[in-house]
Amino acid sequence: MTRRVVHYLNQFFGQVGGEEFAHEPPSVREGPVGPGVLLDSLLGDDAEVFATVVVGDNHAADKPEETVDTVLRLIGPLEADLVVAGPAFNSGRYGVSCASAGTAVADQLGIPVVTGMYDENPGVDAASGIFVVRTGDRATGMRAAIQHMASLVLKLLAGDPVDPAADHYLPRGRVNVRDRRTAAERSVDMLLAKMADRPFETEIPHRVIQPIPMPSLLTDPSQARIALVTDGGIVEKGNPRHLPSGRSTTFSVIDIGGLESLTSDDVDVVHHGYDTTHTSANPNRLLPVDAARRLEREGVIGTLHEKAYSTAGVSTTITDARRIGRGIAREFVNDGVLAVILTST
Amino acid sequence: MNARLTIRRHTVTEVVLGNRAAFEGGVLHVDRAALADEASCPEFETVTVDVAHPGESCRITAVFDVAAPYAKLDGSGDFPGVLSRIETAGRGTATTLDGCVVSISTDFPERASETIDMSGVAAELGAFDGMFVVAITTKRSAETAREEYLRACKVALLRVARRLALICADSIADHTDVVGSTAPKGLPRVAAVTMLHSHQVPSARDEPILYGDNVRGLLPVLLHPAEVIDGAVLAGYWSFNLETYHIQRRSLVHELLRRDGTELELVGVVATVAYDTNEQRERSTTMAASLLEQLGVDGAILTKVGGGIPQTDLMMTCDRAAERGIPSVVLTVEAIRGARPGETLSVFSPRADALVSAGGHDVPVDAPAVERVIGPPRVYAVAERTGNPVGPEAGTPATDAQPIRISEIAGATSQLGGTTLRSVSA
Amino acid sequence: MAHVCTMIPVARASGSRWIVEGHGVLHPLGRGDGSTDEDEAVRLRTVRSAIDVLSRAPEGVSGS
Repeated sequence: MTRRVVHYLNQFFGQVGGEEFAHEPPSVREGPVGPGVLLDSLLGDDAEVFATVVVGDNHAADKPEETVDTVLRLIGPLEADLVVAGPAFNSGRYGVSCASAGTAVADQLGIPVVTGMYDENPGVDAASGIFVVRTGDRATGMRAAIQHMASLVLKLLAGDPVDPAADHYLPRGRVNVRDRRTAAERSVDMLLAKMADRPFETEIPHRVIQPIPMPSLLTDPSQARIALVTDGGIVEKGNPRHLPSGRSTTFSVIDIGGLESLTSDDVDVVHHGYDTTHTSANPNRLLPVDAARRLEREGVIGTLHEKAYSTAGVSTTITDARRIGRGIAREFVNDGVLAVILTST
Repeated sequence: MNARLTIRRHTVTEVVLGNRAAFEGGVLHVDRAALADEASCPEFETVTVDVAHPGESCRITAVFDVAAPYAKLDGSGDFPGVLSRIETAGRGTATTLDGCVVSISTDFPERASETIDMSGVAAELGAFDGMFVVAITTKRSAETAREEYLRACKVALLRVARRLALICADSIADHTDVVGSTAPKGLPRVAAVTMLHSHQVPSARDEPILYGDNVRGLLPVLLHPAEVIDGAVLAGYWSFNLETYHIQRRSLVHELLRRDGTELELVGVVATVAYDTNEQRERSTTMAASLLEQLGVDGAILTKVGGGIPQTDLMMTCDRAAERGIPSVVLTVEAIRGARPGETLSVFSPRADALVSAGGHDVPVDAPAVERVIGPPRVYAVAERTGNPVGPEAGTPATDAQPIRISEIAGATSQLGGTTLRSVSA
Repeated sequence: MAHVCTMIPVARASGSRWIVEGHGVLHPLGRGDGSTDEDEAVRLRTVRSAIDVLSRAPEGVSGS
């Protein structure tokens, strides 16, 4: 049975046009287009590129959520076995577009996704739960990129085991293994090498921090609606929604409208990463309702937003933390909140 | 390195609970009633002693700490500052058992409680695979505060550990380790910087960590490695993957001692704690680096306890040491569930270019159902152990097959480096 | 967003920029060892500092 692959491309590789067509909204057409033709031929009889989704780079960059929603609606009914996105090489907008769409497809449609891009493409950071094949930084490497992607696609469709090194994709996570030496032995070996200027290999990779774009300054706090957020684990009294004390996947909303101060009659603190004695005794130490209310009365800030937000930020994955942050931010945008004070323990 | 500690080790091949104490041909006969008596105190309403055998379908729950049976034979103090008066540890002669450990369980799991499985995948991952466990279970007496109860559990564990070791006092050792020699000149001078506690959960007033001290105000101090393994240092109450057993028998300090005099000169162990305010953190990490410089070390290895917060202390100490020209290696566990490579630590420093992984502590392992449980009969998720209301339907039977996280399998990894678990990118 | 926190390197590692130093992991806005008045004074000062940071965007970490 021939497996069904959907290919996701931008306006250029999807042969709609150049930069002037970068605002192209998502559309779908039958069969392979552009590099999809090579991909289709390399998949042989086992699989075919039966549809291509084309999304303009600027459309994806300017309207990320709308783009993802539309792409999911387009791909959902297609009964695809796997989605291939790109390769995007070092094109940042295209890479982020592939990664965002691919992550959503994998997460919400449960379809495996293979994309391809250069190691330094910002799209790498946006990819989660999908395979990112490593490519060169230029489209002149298209043939090699498609070959590696096709080969991985076939293995995944066959259920064969895959490996980052052999199959040319970026490691997706960390797994536990048993080494033949203890961590103590390896530490001493590593130190001896480091002291003697001999080469050694660190065992835990660093994260490349993607800078968060600077928001605009708050020009006049006395007119602004300001909201309070904390990751110290505040929940509604009695924790009616049974929010966990860590590994959070969602946030709590605390109604502080009309409150002069936050007390342990109003809220509980649920967080297993630190001793919550002080914050339980006086929750203003996490959500400074008393101080903020005073500044509101003094006219230093315009309005203290009636809803405060919290989550328990221990052992929470970065992916979930991003989702939580976006969720809270979305509510703030809807409610006209201009600035936030976030308190962390 | 001029302290001399001789440790006589006896290999235990079988443990029999009965009414006499003896060590005959590898078989340890344990007087059950006497041992329960040794552990008894007003803080316990009841205390029971059991033995779990390697390979048995048995799970020990709510494990508070695990220790190697250990006693001094030369009249010097056992676990000074806790069981005996304070005197410098790390000298004289001690006796210990191989193949047999002591565990103590509380009547309800604490935040960092662990499980010991005697067979199956969780046993294979743990540090006590193939060993006998003399398992003490306790019930807190009414009117005993939690902190008093935990201290009593720690003391009971050590008393039983001592009592068991003394059974072999007159037996011929199967192995003898000697700690302390003078290293030839010219070898690289190395120190271990060992975090004993993180005050993100402040230590209890009577929590015995260093010579019985609660280390609440501890500023970096130099210890002889022999002191550390001879009972001066105990595991604190709350950190995961940290048992007194590893401090005694299987840690970075042991590895450094093994190579002392041949590949390196072990200058000492700098003991520190992690604090919760920035001012204290700055003070502590600055003084640790300064001490390393004063000691003239050529390199240091840094370890921690706890989770993400103390990683900052590690990185800061690494940075400050590097500023003084002292290279270091940082040994830490990772949080790998749902994380991509590069996201498994809460903080990095560009100078921390030599990191050693002690594995991902947050990964669950599917442990099998068991026939026998020693300790509280139900197990609870971490959230249910930290003050949230717990009803009678809370928790699940400890006999069930269930996922158990690495951080909760006793010795599946150790923050002191004595295990082989490691994370790799895949 | 102004970020009140103690673990500043962790905040930076998450991309946070406008940071106001908190008063300890256990009580970021308040004093665990002070009187109620001192606790409130510390909190008020820190929140004022946070509002200030929101409109000035200074470099580095703001104290309170």
